Amino acid sequence: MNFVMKKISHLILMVILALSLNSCSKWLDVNVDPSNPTNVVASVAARLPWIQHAYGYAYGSASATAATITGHLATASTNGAYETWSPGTGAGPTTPYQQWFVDGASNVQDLITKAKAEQAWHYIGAAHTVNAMGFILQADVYGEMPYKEAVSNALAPKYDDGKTIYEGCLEELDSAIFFFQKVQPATATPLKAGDNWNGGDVQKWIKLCYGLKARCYNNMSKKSAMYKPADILEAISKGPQSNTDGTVINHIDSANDMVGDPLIGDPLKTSFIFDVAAWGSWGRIAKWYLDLLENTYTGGSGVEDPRTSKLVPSAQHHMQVPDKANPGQFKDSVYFVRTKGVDLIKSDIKLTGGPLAPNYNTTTKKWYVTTSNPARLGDTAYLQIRSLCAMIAGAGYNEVSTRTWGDGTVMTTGTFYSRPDSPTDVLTYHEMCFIKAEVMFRQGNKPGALAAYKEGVKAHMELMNAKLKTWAGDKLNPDRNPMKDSDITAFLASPAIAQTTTELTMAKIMQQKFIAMSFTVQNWNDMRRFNYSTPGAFGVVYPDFDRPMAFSSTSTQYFPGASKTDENYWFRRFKQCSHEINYNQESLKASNSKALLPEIWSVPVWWDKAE
Amino acid sequence: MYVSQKVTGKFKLLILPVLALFLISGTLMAQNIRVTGKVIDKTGQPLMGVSVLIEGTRTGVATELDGTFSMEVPANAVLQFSAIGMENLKETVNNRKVINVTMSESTVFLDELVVTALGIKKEKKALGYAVQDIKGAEILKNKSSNVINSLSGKIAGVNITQSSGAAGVGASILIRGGTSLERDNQPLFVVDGIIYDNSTPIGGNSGFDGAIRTATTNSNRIMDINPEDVENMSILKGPAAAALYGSKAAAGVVIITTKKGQEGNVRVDFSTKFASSWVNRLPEQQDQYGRGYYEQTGLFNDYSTGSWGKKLTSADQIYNNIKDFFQTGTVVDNSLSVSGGNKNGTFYLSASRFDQKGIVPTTGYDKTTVRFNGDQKYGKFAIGANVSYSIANTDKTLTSGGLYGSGGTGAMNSVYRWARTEDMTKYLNADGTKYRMFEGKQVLADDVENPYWILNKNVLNDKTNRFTGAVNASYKLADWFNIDYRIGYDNYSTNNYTFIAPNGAVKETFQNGKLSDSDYMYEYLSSNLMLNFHKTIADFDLNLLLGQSMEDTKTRTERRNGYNFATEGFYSYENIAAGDKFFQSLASSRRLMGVYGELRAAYKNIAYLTVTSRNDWTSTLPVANRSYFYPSVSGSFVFTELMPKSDILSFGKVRASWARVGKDTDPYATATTLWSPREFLSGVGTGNAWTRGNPYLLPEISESYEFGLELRFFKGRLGVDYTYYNNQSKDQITTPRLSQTTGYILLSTNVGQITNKGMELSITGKPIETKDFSWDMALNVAGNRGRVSGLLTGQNVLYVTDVQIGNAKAASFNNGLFMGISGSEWTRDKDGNVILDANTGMPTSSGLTTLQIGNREPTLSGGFNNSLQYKNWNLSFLLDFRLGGDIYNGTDYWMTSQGMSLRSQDRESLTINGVVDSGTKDANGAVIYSPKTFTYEAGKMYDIKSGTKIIQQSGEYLIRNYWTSSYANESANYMTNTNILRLRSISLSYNLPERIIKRQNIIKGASATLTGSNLFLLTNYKGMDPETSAAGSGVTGSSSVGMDYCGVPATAGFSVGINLTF
Repeated sequence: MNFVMKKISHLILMVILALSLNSCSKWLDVNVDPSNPTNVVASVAARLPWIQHAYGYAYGSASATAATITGHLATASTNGAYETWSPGTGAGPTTPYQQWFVDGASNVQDLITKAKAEQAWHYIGAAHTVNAMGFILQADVYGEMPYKEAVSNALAPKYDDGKTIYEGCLEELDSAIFFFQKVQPATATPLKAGDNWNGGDVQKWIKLCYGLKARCYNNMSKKSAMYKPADILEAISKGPQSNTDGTVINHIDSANDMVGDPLIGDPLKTSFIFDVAAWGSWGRIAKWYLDLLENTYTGGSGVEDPRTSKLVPSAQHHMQVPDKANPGQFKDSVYFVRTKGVDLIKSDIKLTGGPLAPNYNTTTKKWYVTTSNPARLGDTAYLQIRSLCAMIAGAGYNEVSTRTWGDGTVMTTGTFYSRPDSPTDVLTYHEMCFIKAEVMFRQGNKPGALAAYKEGVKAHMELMNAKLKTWAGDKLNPDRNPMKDSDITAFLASPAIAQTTTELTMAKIMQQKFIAMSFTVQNWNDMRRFNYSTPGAFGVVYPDFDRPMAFSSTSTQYFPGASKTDENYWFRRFKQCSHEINYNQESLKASNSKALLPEIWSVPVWWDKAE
Repeated sequence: MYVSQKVTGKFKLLILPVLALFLISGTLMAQNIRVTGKVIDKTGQPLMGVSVLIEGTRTGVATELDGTFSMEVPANAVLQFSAIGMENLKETVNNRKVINVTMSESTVFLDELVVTALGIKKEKKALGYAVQDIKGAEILKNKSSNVINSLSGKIAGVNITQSSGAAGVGASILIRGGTSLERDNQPLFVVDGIIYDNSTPIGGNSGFDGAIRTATTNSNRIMDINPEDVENMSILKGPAAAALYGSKAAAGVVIITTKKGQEGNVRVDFSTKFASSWVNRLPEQQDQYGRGYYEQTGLFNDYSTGSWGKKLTSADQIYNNIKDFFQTGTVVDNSLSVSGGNKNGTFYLSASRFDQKGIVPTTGYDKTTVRFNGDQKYGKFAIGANVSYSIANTDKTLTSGGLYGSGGTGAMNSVYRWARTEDMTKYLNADGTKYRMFEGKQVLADDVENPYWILNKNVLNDKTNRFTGAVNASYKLADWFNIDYRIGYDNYSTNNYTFIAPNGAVKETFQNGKLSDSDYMYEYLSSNLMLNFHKTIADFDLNLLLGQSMEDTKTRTERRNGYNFATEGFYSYENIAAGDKFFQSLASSRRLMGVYGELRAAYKNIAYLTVTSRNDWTSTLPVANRSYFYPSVSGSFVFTELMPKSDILSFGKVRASWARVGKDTDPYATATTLWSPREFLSGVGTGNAWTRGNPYLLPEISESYEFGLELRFFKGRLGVDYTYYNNQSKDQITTPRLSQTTGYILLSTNVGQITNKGMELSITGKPIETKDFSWDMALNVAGNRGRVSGLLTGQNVLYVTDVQIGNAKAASFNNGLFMGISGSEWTRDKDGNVILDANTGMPTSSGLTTLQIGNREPTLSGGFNNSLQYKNWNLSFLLDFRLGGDIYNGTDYWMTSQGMSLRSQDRESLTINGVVDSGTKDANGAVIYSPKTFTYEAGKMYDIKSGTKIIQQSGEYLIRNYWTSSYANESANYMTNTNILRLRSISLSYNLPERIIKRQNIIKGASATLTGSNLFLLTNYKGMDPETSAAGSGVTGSSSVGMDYCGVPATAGFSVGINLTF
C-alpha cells in the first residue's frame, strides 16, 4: 500500500515537473502582439513619409503661432494669447515639440538602422536632413532643448543650448550631403519610394541641405565671431538656383484623406498651414501684414501688390441692381470684398471683444454679426481664412475647399498658403535670393543686393503663379486663379519695389522676404534678428511694428522691457510646454535660469543674443 | 534550462520530508442504520444548516430549515454536530434511530471556519492574518444587482464606491488602499475556486470611434453573478492571506462560494422583490437669473446657453429642468432555485431575472442568470461541477464629454447646464423637426445638444453574455492524502453599441448619422492541481499542500464604425458606403504558470504556523525576468489557552504575518509597436507608437506585514479584533508620462513605490439576549494612508484618468498622496494674502495645475451594522460613515461656469479682498504687497486699465469673469473635506412562525422583507451624493473616486420582497 502511494505521489509530481520543465518555456512564449507590428520591422520607405509629415506639421504649427506674434495673423475675439502678448504664466505651445519628438525624432534612429542594413544611403541622408531641420526648429522657437540626450535611454534628457544644437545640426547636414552623394546598391530601396518632398531627386536634397546651411549661417547674424558672409554665399551657390530647384511640398485635397495622424488626428495630405490655421474659425488677417501687401504702411508707396488678393481672403456680397432686361425690376449682383486687417497695434479691438465672427443670413443675403454691441457690428469686415477638407465636410466631400454659406455665397476665399491643397515651401530659391540680398547689403555690395532682392520678389511671384495656374478656372473662388503677367511686370517696375541701389534698404528687402515667406517661423527669426522695429544699424527694418494695444500690465511680466532697445521688450521665444515643465523639470531648470519664469518669453534664443 | 533547475531544486526540498512523513491509511466500515433527528437551540428554535458528521469521516448532512436531519450511519458511529457560533456536540449513535439534540452557543467561536485561499476552510483562530467573511443572508439584506455593493460598510478596510445612480452602473472595491499606481487595484474575485473576471470593459475608444472614457457608465463584470446564489463571501485582505493565489492577488481576494444542495428532500426557494428608487440629492441651482449674458459694455446678449442673463421676475416662466428630468426607477427581481440531494450527491439549480428601469428616462438594465451546481461521490472519488450562464443588457446615456472631437455633448452634462428660462423638454418643433435654440445663428456642430434629443434619438447600450464553468474532482487516496483537481472556464462577450442619429449636434462628418459598436471577448481557462497531506503527530497537527496551476487568458476586441447612411431612416452598416466604414481588430494573450506549497502546523489549540511559497512564470514579462518567487509566513497564538478560564476574557489571540507577492504586467509591454499604417502624399507610412516598450521590466513586488489581536469577552458576547498592517508595493510597473524629448509620451517601466499603512478595528457585540429578543451589532472602523515615493526625477504627478474638471484631476503624487487631487491655486504673498491683479482686482494664479491640493482618501471610514430580532421579526439597519477625505465637486464647477450653481447666484455685487503689487521692493528685492479691496456691482461701469488704455467694463461682466475664470483657479474652492453619515440600509423582515407553517404541507418557510436604502444622509458635502466616481469603476490606479462630475445622481429607495420555500 505504502509502496503504491509512493508510486502515485511520484507519478503526479513527475507530471507537474514535466509540465513545468519541457513545455513551460514554449507555452509561455506568447508575448508577441498579434495585432501590432513592432518597431524593428518598419521599412525605410514607410518611415520617411511619417518623419517628413511630423516635421512639416511641427514647422507649420510653430509658423501659425509665430504669425500671430509677427503681425501676420489675428484671431477671433475668444483667442489671442499670443497676438495680445499675454501668453500666460503656464506653459508654451506643445505641438511643434510633440509633433517633432514623438511623431518625428522617435523614428530617426530606427530608420537609419534599417537603411544601414540595406545600404539605402539616401534614406540615411534624408533622415539626417529632417532630423537637423526638426532640431533647428526647436532651437529657433524654444531656445534650449535636449538634443544629445534626446531620444536616447535617458528618461529625463538634459538640455543643450542653441549653439550646441545648431552646430550639431550643421554637422548632420554635412553628413546628409555625404550620404546623398553616395551611390546606393541596386538592391537598396530607391529614395523615390518613400520621399514625399522631392520625389527621390537626390540633387534637390543636396540643394536643400546647402540651402538650410545658408539659412542657419544667416540666422547667426548677431554673432560677430560666427557670422561669415562668404560661407553663406558659398552655401547659397550650392543651394537652389531656380524655383524648380526648391523643395516644395505639393499637398492635395482629397475626399479620401480621412485617416488622421495619431497625435492630432488631422488629415495627412493637406497643407500644414491649412491644418493649423485655417481648419477652424479663428484666423483673421492682421493689418500690419495687409499694409505690407498694399504698401500702405508709413512711407509706403500705396501701390497694391498683385499677390494681395491671393494672400488675404475676400468674401462674396450681394447687391440688388436695376435689371436692364426688365426695366423697373432689380436683379441680384454679386461682388467680392476683401477682408479688413485687424489693427492689433493701434486699435482697441482686442480690448473690446473683437473681432466677432461674421455671419450671413441666407434669406436676406446680408452679412451680420450676432451682437448688440454697436462697436462690434462692423466685424463682418474681418474675414476668416478658413477652408474646407474631407474630414471637416464629411462623407461625400466634393473637394471644393472654398467655404460657402448655405446659399452658395462664398464665406471666404481663403489664402494661398492655407488651403488643403496649398503648397508648403520647405526651402525655396526666393529665400536664397533674399538671404543673398541681406548678406550683400551688409557687405555693402548694393548692386548685388538689389539684383538678388528683385530676383527674389520675381521668383516668389512666379512660384505662386505656377501653383495658381494649376488651380486656374475656379469659377467659385476668384483668388484661386493666376495673377496677370502684366500685373506682375508692372508691380516689379513700380515704386513699391526698390529700383535703384539708393532706394534699397534692409527694410525693403525684409518686407519682400516677409511676404514671400508668409507663414514661416523664419519670418519670426528674421524679425527677432533685426529686433523688430527697434532702430539699429539698418534703421527700422520692420516699420510700424510694435507691441499690441492689448499689451497689458499682465503682459509686462512676460515682456518687462520698458523701451524698444531693451531686448526683453520683445517676444523672443516660446516657453517650454507643459510636458517639460511637468515631467522634465530638473533638466529644464538647469537649462536656463529663467526657464520657469514668466519673462522667459522675452529671453533671446542663442542666435538672437548679440555677441 | 534556467527555469527547470529552479523547479527541481524547490521540489526536492519539499517532497522528501513529505514522503517520509505520510505513511498510514485505512478506514473500517460497520453495519449502517438510518438515523433521524432534530437540532434545536436552548430557546427551542430549530437550527438549520447544522453540520452532522460521522466522526472520523467526511460523510455528513446539514439540518433542514426546521432543524431536522436524516442519514445512514454505522450503528456504532459517533455523530459530530457543529455550527458556526455553537459549541460542538458529540453523540454516540449506539443503535438509536432518533437523536434529538440541543446545542448551546459557543462562548468563543472556537471552531469558526472561514474560507481562505484556494477555498481551503480554516479555523479562524489558526490564522495569522485578517480574513472576514459575510454570509449570503447578510448580503441579501440590502440586495443589489451588484454583489459588491452589499459589502459596503460591513467589512473593515474595504471601500466600495458605486460610480453613480445609473442603471447597470459599476462599483469599485478597494481593499486596504491600492497596490498599483497605474494598474487595476480591484481585488481578485474567485467564484467556487475559479478566478472570475471583474474588469470593467470600456466600450468606446476615443482614437477609433470617438467615444471617450468619461462619457458613460459601465458595469463591472462581477455583476453577472446572481446575489441569491451566493452562500458566502470571504474577503482576504492582505498579501499574506492571498499569497497562494499569486500574482493577481496583490490587491486582496474576494472568495465567493455559491450555494449547494443539501441532502434530503428537494427544496424550492422562490423570492420576488419590487423596488422603487428616486434621486437621492440633486445639485443646488440658482433660480434668479435667466439665459444670456452681459457684455463688457454692459449690453445684454442672449446668444448664449449660459445663465448669466437678466434677473428674473415673477412674470418669467421658470422650469425645473433638472428635477423634472429624472423619473422614478423601478426594479423587479425574481429568483427561483431548486436544490436537494442524497448522501452521494447534491444539486442546486437556480434562475433569476432582474429588470431595472433607470432614473434617467430610456435607460435600464436587465440581467438573466442560470446556475447549476452539483456534486457526486463514488466511494473515494468525488466530482463536482458549477455552471452558470448570464445575459446582461444595459441601456445607458452619455454622462459628460460626449464624443471626442465630435462636438457633441453628453446628456447629463447638458441637463445640469440647461437654463431655467428654457423648457428642456422641447427638443422637437411641432412638425417633428429638431428644435434648435439658435436656429440660423450657428452651425449645428456648435449647438448644445438637448438631453431629450440624445435620449430619444441616439442609442447607447451594451449586451454581455457570459458562461462560466468549473469541474472539480477529488480522490481520497488515504486518510492523510487526497488529490484535488479543478479546471475552470470563464468566457464572456460584451457588445457595446452606439448610434448617433442624423441631425445631431456633432461634427459635420457625423451629421448624417453614425454607428459604432465593439465586441470584447474574454476567455479564461485554468487548471489547478492540489495534493493535500494531513497528519497528526502527538500534539502537532500537520498539513501540507502542494499545487500547480496554469492559466490562459485571451481577449479579442473587434470594433466597427461607420457614418453617413445612404438611405434615409435606415441605420445599418450595409447602408453605409465602403469608404465610410472602419474596423479594428485587436487580440491579446497571456499565460501564467505557478507552483506552490503550503505547510501548516498546529500545536494543540494554542499555536499555529503557516508557511507558503509560490513561484510564478508569466508570459508577459521579458524571458529573463519571467520567473519570480515569493514566500509568506504567518502564525497565531491563543494565549488564553495558557491562562486560567475566565468569564471576562474568554478568548485571546495574537497573530502576525509577513508576505511577499509578485505581480506581472500586461501583455506586450516589452516591445515598442508601430502605428497602423496610413496613406501619405505618396506611399504608405508608419511610425513608432507613443508608448515605448521596455524589454527590461521586472515584476512588481508587494511586501507586507500585519499584526492582529483578537479578544472575546463575556463568553463571546463582546468581541474585539484589531489589525495593523503595512504594505509596500515596490518596483511598480507604471507607464508614466515622460518628457517627450525621449521620443515617446509614455514608457512602461519599474518605478515608484506605494506604501499603505493602516489599522482596522471590528467590535462585535450582543448587548441584549433574551428568549424573545436579541440585538447583534458589529462596528467596524478602518483608516488607510496611501503614500507614493520613488517616481522618476521631475515627475511629481501621475494621472490615471482623462477626467479633468476645471484645473482639477485625480492624481498620485511622488513623495505624496496616492489618492490625491491636483489643481491650481491663487497666488499668495508670504502672509497668505491672495495677490490680486492691480487693474482688474481678480485673484492671480501661477497657472500651474499640478499642485497637490487634496486627498481623496478618508481619514476614517466604517460601518455600524445592527440586527434586532424579536420573535419572528427582524429589524436590521446599517449605518456607514466616513470622516475626512476630499471630494471635488466638478458638477458645481461646471454649473458655476454656466451661471447655474447656487454660488453663482451671488452676482449683484462682488467684493474681492487681497493684496496688490505696490510697485516697490524691499531691501532683498522682493515685491512689497499692499492690501486692497475691489468691489464691483451689477449695473455699474468701471474703468479698468487694460494695456495702455482704460476700458469701461460692466459690473456684470467683471463679476461673471470672476466666477467663470478667476474663481476656478483656486481649485480647492470646489473641494470639500467630507464627513458622511449614511443610513445605507434598513430592513424589516417577518418570518412566518413555524406553528402556522406546520398547518400545511406546501410551504416550508416564508418571509417578507421591507427594505429602505440610502434613506438618510448627513454630510457637509453640498453637491449630489458624495459617493461618486466620475470615470466609473474601470479606472486603474488611484481611480476617479472622489471626483464628482455631472454623473447620474445616486438614488434612495424602498423595496419589498417575499421569500418562499417549498
